Amino acid sequence: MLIKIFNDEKIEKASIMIIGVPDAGLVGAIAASYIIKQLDMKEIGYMDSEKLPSAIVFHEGRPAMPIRIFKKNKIIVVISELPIPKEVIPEFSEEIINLAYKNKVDRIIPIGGIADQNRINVDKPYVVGAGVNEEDRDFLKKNNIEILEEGFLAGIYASIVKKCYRDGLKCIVLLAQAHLGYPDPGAALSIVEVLNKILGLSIDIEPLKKEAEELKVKLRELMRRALPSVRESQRGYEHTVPVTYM
Amino acid sequence: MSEIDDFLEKFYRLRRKFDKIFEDLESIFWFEKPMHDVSERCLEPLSEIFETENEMIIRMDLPYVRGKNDIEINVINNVLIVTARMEKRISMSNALSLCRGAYFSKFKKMIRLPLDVDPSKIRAKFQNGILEIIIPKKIRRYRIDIE
Repeated sequence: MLIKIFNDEKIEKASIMIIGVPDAGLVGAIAASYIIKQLDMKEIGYMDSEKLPSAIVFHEGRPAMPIRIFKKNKIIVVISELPIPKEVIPEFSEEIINLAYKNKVDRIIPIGGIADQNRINVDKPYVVGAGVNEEDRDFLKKNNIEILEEGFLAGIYASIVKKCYRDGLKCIVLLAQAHLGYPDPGAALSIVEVLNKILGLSIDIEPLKKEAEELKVKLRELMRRALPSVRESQRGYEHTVPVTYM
Repeated sequence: MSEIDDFLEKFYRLRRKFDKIFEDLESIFWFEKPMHDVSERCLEPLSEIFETENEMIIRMDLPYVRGKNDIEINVINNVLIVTARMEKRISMSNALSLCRGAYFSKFKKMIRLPLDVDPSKIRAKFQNGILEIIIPKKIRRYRIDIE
């Protein structure tokens, strides 16, 4: 996988790297895109692979790679506008780790949705956090975020977590209760609220509330396209009880 | 169950399998069926179908639909037809798509029902922008008490 960083942009030490890809309810991609817009982040590079679909997006008349890297101060956001095929997951997660090493990233925060059929009955989706090391779990506890105590994490974020665990990198995965097959800006909003709290940001959530229905209409096609890869990446594991310690 | 019912049920089961194969193919390739109909000014909602032992449950995401009075559910010749009026007209003016410039004012979805459900006992609720339709299955299993 190719990573291109424009003009040798330097990323400050002790940065936070947020990862958002299309997943259950497109939560990761919606939240990441909203953060980029609200913080007025600068595009500093992209990631590409021959194994990705031959597609390119256009924003404000300009072509843009589907997986892009943005930066503002000490925050880096990696966003994908296309579902990441399972063949690309290992190299994508390895490159995320390489990028983190190169730029002395302090903590990686993948964000996304956890599919829950009960989401229909919930106005405010909960957010759970999975911490890779003790420091991450203490950080989650200190911020009163429910910790994923038992269960599987699967798919692209699991691949990133495995590599962080292997290398001893700090990483917390934030997952909001979400619809599986409908774009879920409400769940993305819960993620943004948690990021505001834990990173001391002050991202206004009102515009996202106002845009929610428009996003739900306009992201229908992407959601339909993303759903098979979400299912294929075994996200169903997240509702499975692990065999040990029963 | 008569032989004709039995045949029709097998036929519809096979048809659903083929529909699923084509849906999967459409999701892989770019020539998939669009989720809009410009001539009818309607969008196809995203939907999910679940089955329990006794019920078939269909859920649809209906943004811009305000209440149950804006939704109509009919079953005609074993086809479930849902139409829902949106509060405002939606246009895809900036999209690189076939529907560029068109506007849409309603959702429409048609789903062929299996023969083992009872459309006369359909119930539905609309909550948080999601329509949930519950269709009971016909009772075809009986518990026999042992004397």
